[in-house]
Amino acid sequence: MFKGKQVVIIISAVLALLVLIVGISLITGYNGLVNLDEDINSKYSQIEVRLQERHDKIGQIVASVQGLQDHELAVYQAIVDARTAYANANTQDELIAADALEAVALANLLVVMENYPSIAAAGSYYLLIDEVSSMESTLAVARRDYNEAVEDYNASVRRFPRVLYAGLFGFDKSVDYWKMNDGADEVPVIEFD
Amino acid sequence: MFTLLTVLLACKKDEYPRPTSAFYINDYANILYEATRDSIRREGERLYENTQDEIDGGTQLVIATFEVEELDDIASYDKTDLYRQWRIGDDDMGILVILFFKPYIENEIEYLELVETQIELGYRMEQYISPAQLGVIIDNTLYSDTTDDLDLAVMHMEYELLSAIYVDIYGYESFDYDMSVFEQYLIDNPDTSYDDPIPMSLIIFLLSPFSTWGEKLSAILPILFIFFAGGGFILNKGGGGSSGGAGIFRRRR
Repeated sequence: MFKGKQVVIIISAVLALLVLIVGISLITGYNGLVNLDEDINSKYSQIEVRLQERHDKIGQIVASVQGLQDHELAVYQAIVDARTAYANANTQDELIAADALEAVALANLLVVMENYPSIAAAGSYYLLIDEVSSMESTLAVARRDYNEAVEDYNASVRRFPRVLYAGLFGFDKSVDYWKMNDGADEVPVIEFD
Repeated sequence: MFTLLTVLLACKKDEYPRPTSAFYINDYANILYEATRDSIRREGERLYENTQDEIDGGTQLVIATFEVEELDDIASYDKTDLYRQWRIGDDDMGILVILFFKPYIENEIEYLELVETQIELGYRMEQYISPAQLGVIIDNTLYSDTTDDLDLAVMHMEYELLSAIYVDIYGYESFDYDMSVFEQYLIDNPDTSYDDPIPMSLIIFLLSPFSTWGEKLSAILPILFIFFAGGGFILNKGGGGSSGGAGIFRRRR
């Protein structure tokens, strides 16, 4: 039916088509993984920016609160410890731990400040709560965005054929989520009577 | 395969309702007067047009109202998700104000009361307007004791936000407004939002066996022409902006 030359041409064409398909698949698969990886990096940077903003804000708040009572010094110490932990954080796990420490320390500081009539009565307390609330909200969103990016990446590298490309091109098999303790990332809401 | 994927993506369900064609005011709680909604829409359109050629321009100020049965239901709304879905502001220069209302019954009549206000700032807008500034504006307008009229309070808030945007961001010398003028505008434009949009006489005319098809067509064609050419298809829409959670929350206990 087919002559020898025709068979060779057909086989060559099929092989060329296969090579083309595999090549396109490799390129798109690789580029897809790069995009997902970069998305994680971008979202991680966003968390770092937000954490730095909170770190700076806590510094300003502490500086504005003078004359803490003895029983409130523990709160102050917790803030110092949290700030130190943040400043010394080098790995993601350390940063997550520092994030949680600062969140709790800040919440406790706000409770203490509410008991200072000079601050609470002046109205500046509510403005401060607005700033803190916004800050915590941005952090919560940044963490969520990051975790969604990680979820996309982790799901993608486990799917076929990307699971092959991930190993081939040296991509991580999975990336850790940004896990917070329950309640540590709640956003405070101002309530009026 | 590609077509199927395209169709499936197009059918992807949005989490929140789409913005109305007015875009700058989305009164899903149906609590504002039409005059208020018109004023907010006009001011929103004006702001967008006036700032488009500025650096960091194309600012969009959008207000949405929602009715919730219980306070806990507010948790099902995420202001950041809503902002992102509606893509407010060119280059992330936008502000979304969400007002939540809860029903209550007095003398066997159901009313709505404002229970929580949330404001979301676009990423770039964060540089210009602080949450504390928003807090002051909300406290002096929506939560002020000086007025019990919701429409006046909402419009006052709109003007104050506009003032902050025009003056603080774009360097206008001032943004003047007069609440008594708006109050008079409300009085002069009684609400017609509950009226039937198509007069009953026209419907009767169209259904009437005594009018000819030619007469029916000549009556309905101008309306269809206005709708398709000038009305229904000219929609305000978001500038493609995104946000990162900055803003404020205010709840009335």
